[in-house]
Amino acid sequence: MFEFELSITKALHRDHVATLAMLEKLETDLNRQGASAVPTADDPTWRSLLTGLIAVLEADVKGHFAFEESRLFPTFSEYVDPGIPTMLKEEHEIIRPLAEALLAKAKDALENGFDDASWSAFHAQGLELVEREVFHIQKEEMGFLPALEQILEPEDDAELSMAYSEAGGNV
Amino acid sequence: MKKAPQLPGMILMGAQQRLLPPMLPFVFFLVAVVCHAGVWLGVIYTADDIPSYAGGPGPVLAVLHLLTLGVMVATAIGAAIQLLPVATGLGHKSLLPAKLLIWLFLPGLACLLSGFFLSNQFLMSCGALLITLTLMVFLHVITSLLWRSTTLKLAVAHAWISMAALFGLLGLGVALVLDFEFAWLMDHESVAAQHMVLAACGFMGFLAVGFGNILVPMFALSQNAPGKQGWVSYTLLVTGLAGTIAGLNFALPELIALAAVAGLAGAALHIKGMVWCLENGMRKKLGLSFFMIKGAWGMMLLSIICGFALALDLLGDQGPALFGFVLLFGWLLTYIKGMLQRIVPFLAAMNMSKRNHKPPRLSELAQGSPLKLHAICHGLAIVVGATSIALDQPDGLRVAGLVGFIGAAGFAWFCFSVLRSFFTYHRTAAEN
Repeated sequence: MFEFELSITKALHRDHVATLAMLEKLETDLNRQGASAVPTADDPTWRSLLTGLIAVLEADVKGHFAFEESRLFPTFSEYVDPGIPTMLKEEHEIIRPLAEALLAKAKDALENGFDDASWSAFHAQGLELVEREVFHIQKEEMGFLPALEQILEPEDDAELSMAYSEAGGNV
Repeated sequence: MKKAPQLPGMILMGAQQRLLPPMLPFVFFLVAVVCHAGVWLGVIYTADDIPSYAGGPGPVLAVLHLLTLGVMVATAIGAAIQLLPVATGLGHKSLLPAKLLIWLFLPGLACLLSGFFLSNQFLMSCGALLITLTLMVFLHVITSLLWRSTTLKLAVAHAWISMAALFGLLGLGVALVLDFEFAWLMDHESVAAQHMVLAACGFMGFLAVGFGNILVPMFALSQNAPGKQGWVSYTLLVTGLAGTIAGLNFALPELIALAAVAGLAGAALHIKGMVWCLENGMRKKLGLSFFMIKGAWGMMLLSIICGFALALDLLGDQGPALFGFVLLFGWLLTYIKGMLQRIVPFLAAMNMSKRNHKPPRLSELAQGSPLKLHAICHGLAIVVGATSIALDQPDGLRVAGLVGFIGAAGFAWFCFSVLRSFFTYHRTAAEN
């Protein structure tokens, strides 16, 4: 594993850390609650988790994924290997609808609480998101970010960092 | 922009393009899984002879090599031919040697084990020849990657020691087999002990520690442990191995004891680094596999302490068997099974990504319950087995063998479930 030097890879790595921390918390709480025991609408633990989850997923899907697809994958395809961004983009396409469905359910639950059906779906989709996203981040941390460190010049880093910051990323 | 890099993880990222044909490593893993069950049956069969075993052909030697070759070497080959390219970012120049391995290994294993079991010199010699050829090809496959590697210097340094130990243990192994017929060695027992130390601590031990330096940070999503402690650990472990071999060769038990102390310090430093990775990794929930791996690290330390006590003749008549059991079953087998239960679904999932078909989740590849059964049974079998050897209780060993076999069956169930999911996915993807 690598220590990152560039601003853009550090920013993407920070996103991964925040996402993984939230996913681990989600996984723990989903498993503790179980698929059949619906949490109450005013449960402060769940309200706090859902609020955090919404923030992380919105940043991830709208910010992180979109920036990678629009700015980093094309560069990577050109200079390293088109197969790798293709695989990562395919994973985004699987994770994105899952995250969007979970976001909608989380927002609805904050307003109206869960019923049996919505909780069951949220529980199943939440655990699926955890698994898929962790596997995806593992690949990006092992191969994609270290490779970016190797191919980007300082001026590329400055330009990409500025672009990510303007897109709402935490640089 | 700079030129395209060769980096660890790049092959993993470009799975569809650059991973090995999945059945190539999986065949070795399946051999290991089947032999694992066979080993515990062998423990039941040879329970009367194990506590006092100190060497020589017969069923105990066959069971011992079913474990070391059938389980450990098979796993080492399957893991190394796939994971070393992943780790170094280098591809095999040709897949032919890797494909040749299985055709040499399986008949060699069958000949050598039946030769040991029946004390048949012809079968032993044929088996030794084929296994030596297999491992020389393996040596070529791995060293050709190591020569070209410019990354992960610590893990590669461990792999070099492992390969050097492999070269040494092969030479001694052939000498030992021929000695059964020609009685030409001055001290068969000492050479057998050197062969065992080179195999378990040198070849498998350094490979396990080296891969640990890659796989633990990979699964925990962590940086490598800070500072130079990895290299200090490596130096101490090499010193420990070299000192033990020298001590055995020159019959100097004090030197072996000193070497064990160096090895113990090296192992403790390695484990400290691995624990740092787990504590500082992004992924905290690592599941049952890391429960086993942590147990194996404890047994690694215990096995070196047993080696120290054995050198100073503090373990009594059952000492050699107890040391061998803690080293092989307690440390290496536990470690291998902990890693294998993560590697098998991981590699399967890496090979299950087709544009027209959504890949399954890791947890959908196989149920987790057989792994729980395996972990419980394996832990029980190790405790009961070691206690039974220490107390010279063959009945206890039979119980350990039975419990271990049930666990091994659970592990086999898990691996075959992953394979079934793999084939189902590809069949469905092809139909779509």
